[in-house]
Amino acid sequence: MKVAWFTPLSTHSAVAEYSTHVALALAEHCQIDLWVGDDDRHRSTPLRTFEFHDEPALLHRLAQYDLAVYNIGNYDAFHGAIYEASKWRPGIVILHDRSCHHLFAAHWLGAGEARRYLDRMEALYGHAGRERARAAIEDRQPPIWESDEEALRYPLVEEALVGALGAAVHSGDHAGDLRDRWFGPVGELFLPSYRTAPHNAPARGGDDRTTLLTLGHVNRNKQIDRVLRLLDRDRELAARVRYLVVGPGLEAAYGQELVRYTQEAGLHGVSFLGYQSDEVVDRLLAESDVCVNLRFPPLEGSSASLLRQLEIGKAVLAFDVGGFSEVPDGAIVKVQPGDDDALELALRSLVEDANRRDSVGAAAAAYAGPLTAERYAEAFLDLAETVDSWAPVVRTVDRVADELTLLGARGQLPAVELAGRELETFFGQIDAKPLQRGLGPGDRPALGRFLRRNDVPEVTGHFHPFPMTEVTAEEIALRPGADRYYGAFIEGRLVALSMLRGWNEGFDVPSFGIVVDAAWHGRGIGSMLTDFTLERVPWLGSERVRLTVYKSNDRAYRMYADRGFSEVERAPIERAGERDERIVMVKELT
Amino acid sequence: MKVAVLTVQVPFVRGGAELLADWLTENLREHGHEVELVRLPFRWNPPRAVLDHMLAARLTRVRPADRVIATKFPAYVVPHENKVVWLLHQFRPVYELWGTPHQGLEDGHEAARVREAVMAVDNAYLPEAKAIYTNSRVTSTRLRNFNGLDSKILYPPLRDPASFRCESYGDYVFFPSRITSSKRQELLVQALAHTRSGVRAVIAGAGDLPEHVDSLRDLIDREGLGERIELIPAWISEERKLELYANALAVVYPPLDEDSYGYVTMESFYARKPVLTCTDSGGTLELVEDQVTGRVVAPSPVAFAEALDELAEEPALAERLGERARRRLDELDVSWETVVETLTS
Repeated sequence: MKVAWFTPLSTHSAVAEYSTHVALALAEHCQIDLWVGDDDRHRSTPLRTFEFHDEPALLHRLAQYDLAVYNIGNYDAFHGAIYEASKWRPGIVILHDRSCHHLFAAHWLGAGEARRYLDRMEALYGHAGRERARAAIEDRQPPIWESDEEALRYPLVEEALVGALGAAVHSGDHAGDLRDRWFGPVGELFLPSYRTAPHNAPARGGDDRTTLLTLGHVNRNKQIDRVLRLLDRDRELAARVRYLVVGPGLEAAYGQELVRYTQEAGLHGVSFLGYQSDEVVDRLLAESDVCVNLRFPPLEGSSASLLRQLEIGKAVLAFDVGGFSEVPDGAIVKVQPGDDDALELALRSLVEDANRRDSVGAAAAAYAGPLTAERYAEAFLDLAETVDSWAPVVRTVDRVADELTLLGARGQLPAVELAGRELETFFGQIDAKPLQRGLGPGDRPALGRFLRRNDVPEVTGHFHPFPMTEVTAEEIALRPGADRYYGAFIEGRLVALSMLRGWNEGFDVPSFGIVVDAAWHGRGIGSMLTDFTLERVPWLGSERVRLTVYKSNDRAYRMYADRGFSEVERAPIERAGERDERIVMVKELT
Repeated sequence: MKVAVLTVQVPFVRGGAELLADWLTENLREHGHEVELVRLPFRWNPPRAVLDHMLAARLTRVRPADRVIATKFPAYVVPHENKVVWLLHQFRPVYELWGTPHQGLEDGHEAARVREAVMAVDNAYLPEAKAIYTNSRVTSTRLRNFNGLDSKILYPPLRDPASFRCESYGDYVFFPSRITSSKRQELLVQALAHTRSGVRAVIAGAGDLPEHVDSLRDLIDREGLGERIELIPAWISEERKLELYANALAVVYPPLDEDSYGYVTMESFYARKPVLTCTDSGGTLELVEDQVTGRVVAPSPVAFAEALDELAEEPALAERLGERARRRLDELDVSWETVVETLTS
């Protein structure tokens, strides 16, 4: 598979950092090129890059790819060009932020397209949306993006998904929100940790104060003022900590406000360090005791800095919202937003109790450790299969929507409702059961991964007609001959494989075989695919089918007997040092 | 009564279903109804085109009609409060042909999604009809098995059955049909190579694809049967067809799991000719009964050859079976009067 991965590559972009790690992991499975949408100073990467912001004509080359992936975040300079590129070819949109209002407002207003901004606000949020945007443009009210609450009320994420085949986000909460707004497949992936920071190595230098650390762009969403007020109120606690605020943004009003407050309150343990390089951030992170990661309302899908803090075993203090809520209790300290007493109690406990910090940090590392970029890559490929399986549905709905738009239809018209209702009938139930179908050349990658996944004794103990390898996958998908292979798919993922073999070798009676993904045993998929496959046999020119089963596989034997297979041969054998019996069964299908 | 006959049309393709829609329209008019024949365009490749056609059909309205008679997928999903369905067959690629070489849709997620959507639509909208009739027991059985829906059989008559005649039981068997793999013309060729009687064959019909005809011609050459088989790879005139029926020893029609008895069968019976078919031919078996109205044999060249020799060596047997076949039609009450009355009542 050839993938075009659209991303910023700026050293100032968290999405760029994510992309360089994830794309490298994906490169183990497919050919992946980075399509770079910003002209900032770039991170280094061994992958091939195309800087299309300089040369939009390059986008014609997208036709050569099997999949396009667009990373969209809430910043025009990094993501505006990527949004424009996404209109060239439908693909998967990875949404890094819950609101993209700032991205689109800046993108359109910066290009002098105020009317487009107003039209889209009306199309998505009705008359009220249009009027609110107009008030901002005419300076009668502040810009929407300056208020987190309003940015979430008018997130414009729907715009990022126009024409998309699928979406990916990094928390269940975010996925749920998106599913309410968009009909296509939404994948819920975990944000990986990158292991770029050294592990816990506090260098106290004789200072026995507890080090608190807040990382990232300094803005009101990070609730730093709340921590300062808490320390101001509880001077005894303030004396026991040093609080480092690391990140750009101090020059803005909120940053200035924080610095002023700190000076006026005489909070000598608080330091604002501004932007720091990755190396310095890593060192400070290693030296810290508690990471204060309070964000409200949650604007990001998840937080890369949170994952980094968890992975290296830091105790993290966060609000119980968004992606933070999904970190297991015990691996993070969560408090309800707005409950200042609970926040103070939690912070005090973490400052005073080193053992608690250690136990929370250990649980955090255990949770985040397995969330590697490699695992992320595999989960992403599963999502790509799901998206591929939904593509005809999404394209149909989009096509209908395009036609209605051309006709000037608005969402409230009966015709739009009628078309929507009909499409619901077409597609409403289609994922209630696995899709069953013949395998073709396009299934080779999925089949290869299926065989590799199931090359485990639990499966191969009973099923061994061929090696569970990529070579076998290629043979089956590309050169099946007269033999037939069928698959059961759930959300686009191959979960069972059945076969009718023997015709290639000249036999009149085919041999039936089936293997169900080890992770999907016990859900009736094997029975369903068995029935499906046997129903095809008469259509393939045979009136009889045979199979081989081991006596030790009693469950399978009973399933076949229930389906009318009769035993015609039984021979003792030894398998893996155990005595067993090889049973041949036959079923007449006339 | 204002009647809208709804069917579908793959542009520039005509077959039995298109003829039936024409004949139904004519006969409804002859019975005094005001009739519009509405042909919805249809194609199934790429598979996603099926989704477009289903939606288009569902959004189509024929309200001025007092009665809608729909015959094919997806015409029968057009909504109407007074709709009857006379089902010739469902969208076979997603039902009995799915997962077989006859599927006709490229394997992949797209076709699988389309399949599920078609079944969802059939399940949701076929029950809207006041009544569902089918053209055969096979179609009714499939509808019951795949969709759990009951239906009644209403056999389609020929346009002009009186034109068929019998003049003799000659020295050839006649195989009139589209030349395509599912009709199995090659089975007759292979069987002739095994016969001892020297019986001849006339194979007539347009090829679905040029390669079907080429492949059949190659087979005839390979078997050295050029002298005994007359291959006419085109639609023949009605007059020529009637003549070939009239003087044939018997008619050969062994399709693979046909969904109806097939016009060929009925035409043969009107011409008093027995039909040679196979145990796996599906709908033909509703009319063809072994040693009563024809021969039903295993789909193998050897079994087929034996049946051909038997008829060639004893033309009186062909005549006896042919006469019985003609009487069988009277028993079935297949007529346009019955069809029109059933579909408009």
